[in-house]
Amino acid sequence: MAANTLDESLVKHVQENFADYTYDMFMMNMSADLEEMELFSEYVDILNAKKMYTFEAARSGTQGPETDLARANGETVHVVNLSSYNYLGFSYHPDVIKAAQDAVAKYGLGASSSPVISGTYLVHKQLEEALVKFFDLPGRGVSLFTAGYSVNLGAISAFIKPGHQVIMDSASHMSIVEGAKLSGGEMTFFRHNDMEHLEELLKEKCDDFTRVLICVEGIYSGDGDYGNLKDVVRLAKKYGAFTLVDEAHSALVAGEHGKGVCEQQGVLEDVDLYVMTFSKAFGGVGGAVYAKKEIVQYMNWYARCRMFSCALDPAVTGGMTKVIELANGPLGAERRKRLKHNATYFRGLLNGKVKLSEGDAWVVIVHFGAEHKTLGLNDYLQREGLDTSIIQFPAVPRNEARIRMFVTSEHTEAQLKKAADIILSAAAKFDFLLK
Amino acid sequence: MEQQEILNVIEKHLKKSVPGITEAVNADKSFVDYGANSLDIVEIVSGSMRELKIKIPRTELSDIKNIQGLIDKFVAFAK
Repeated sequence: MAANTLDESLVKHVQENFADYTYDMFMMNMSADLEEMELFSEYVDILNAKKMYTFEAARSGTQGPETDLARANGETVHVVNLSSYNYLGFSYHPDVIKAAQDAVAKYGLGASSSPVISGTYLVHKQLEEALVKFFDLPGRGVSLFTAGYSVNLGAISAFIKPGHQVIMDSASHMSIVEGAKLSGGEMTFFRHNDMEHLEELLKEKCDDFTRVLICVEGIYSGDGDYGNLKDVVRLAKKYGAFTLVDEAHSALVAGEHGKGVCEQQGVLEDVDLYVMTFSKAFGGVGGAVYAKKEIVQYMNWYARCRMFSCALDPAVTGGMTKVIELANGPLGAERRKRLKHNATYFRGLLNGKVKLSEGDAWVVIVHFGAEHKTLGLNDYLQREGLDTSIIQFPAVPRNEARIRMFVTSEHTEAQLKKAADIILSAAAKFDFLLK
Repeated sequence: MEQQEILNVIEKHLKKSVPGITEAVNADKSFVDYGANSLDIVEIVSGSMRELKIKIPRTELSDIKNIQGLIDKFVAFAK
């Protein structure tokens, strides 16, 4: 093992300028040694010593509306939890926990094999059937994956071959970008939700011999706004392209019946690859692609990260089958309604006072600008009693750092009022109140 | 180190990260103008640093506006 090669002057520089360091800076390495890893370790140690390391704080219970956070330095803070995407609160519903317990008792802890070899259990078939019934379109099926990230990685790289084209919204999630990269197809980005730019690219890229896949999202997780799915589908049809819609933050939630922004905008039948992530409203982990049966069958065998991974674990699979049953019934309808009410109420408390994401979605983004504010700001928010999810470069453009908050159906108005008050007091302190 | 030599290296890494650029790269433009996303930029900058064998302190790289700005940093820190 190589010795620690870190130059003392570098350590001193981090100690004196820690607030100027950002995540991306530790991606770079300029030599054969492990400088960026050793320096990042120093950086985290320095932040912990200053009691400012707010990340990876362990929860002591469920992802409910309030929780205790155990910080790495030993401190515990009590917070209103707006950092979990457990939108409908199903991850800790008693019926869901019971279904997961029943599944683990029946099938054991892990699936112990790839889904195409011997890792497919009856409980996986039940989840597939529940999803097919929930979305209820003829001739469709689902392919299950062990992570939402893997769905995009596997589905795009199975669908697109070298010589084909992937056209993505510039705000696309990293898993879409990585899937496109892995496919070997040519990658192009259109400006976020800019349909004129998309049409320009389609005119240029589409011909009779080239498969073109347009990748967009129901709700963009870094921007909190809706994808313009209606126009994307219209343009895809006009130019003979295929569409992938990632509904990670909207499946089970958006639309009257919870079928996502595709349902809300009336295009569910027109979308070729509907991607869902089980870690959000489904309350579990994993993901799936919903598509025509022949496409799904192909994904099962040719999405390499699926074929070469163990199948979903039985407990989570059983629990999520129950989630779909609940989401499809009166409780789902009631919680969707309450979530929408909560999002509107919370946005109303912030609107006009800070720079807020557009629309009415439950992913609420507040822009605070320069990423060097992140450490102090996140420390302040947690100590005041609010946990959020900070996003900054390179996840979003430089100097466009954001506080991201996930409203759930289970928050009370009092909790949301407290959260909004903390955001506004932080905005005054860290200079991002609208003038 | 000559500016053109540095530009050639940056151009090579830009074209590797963003396939499809056929024209000569204009240093007055930004990486974003050429379709690079934020992770591409990290790869282009660190790949160029490795090839040119020039170390630039990480915090010096956050205020670069265009490709010429990066060239200027390389010139300033070249030994």
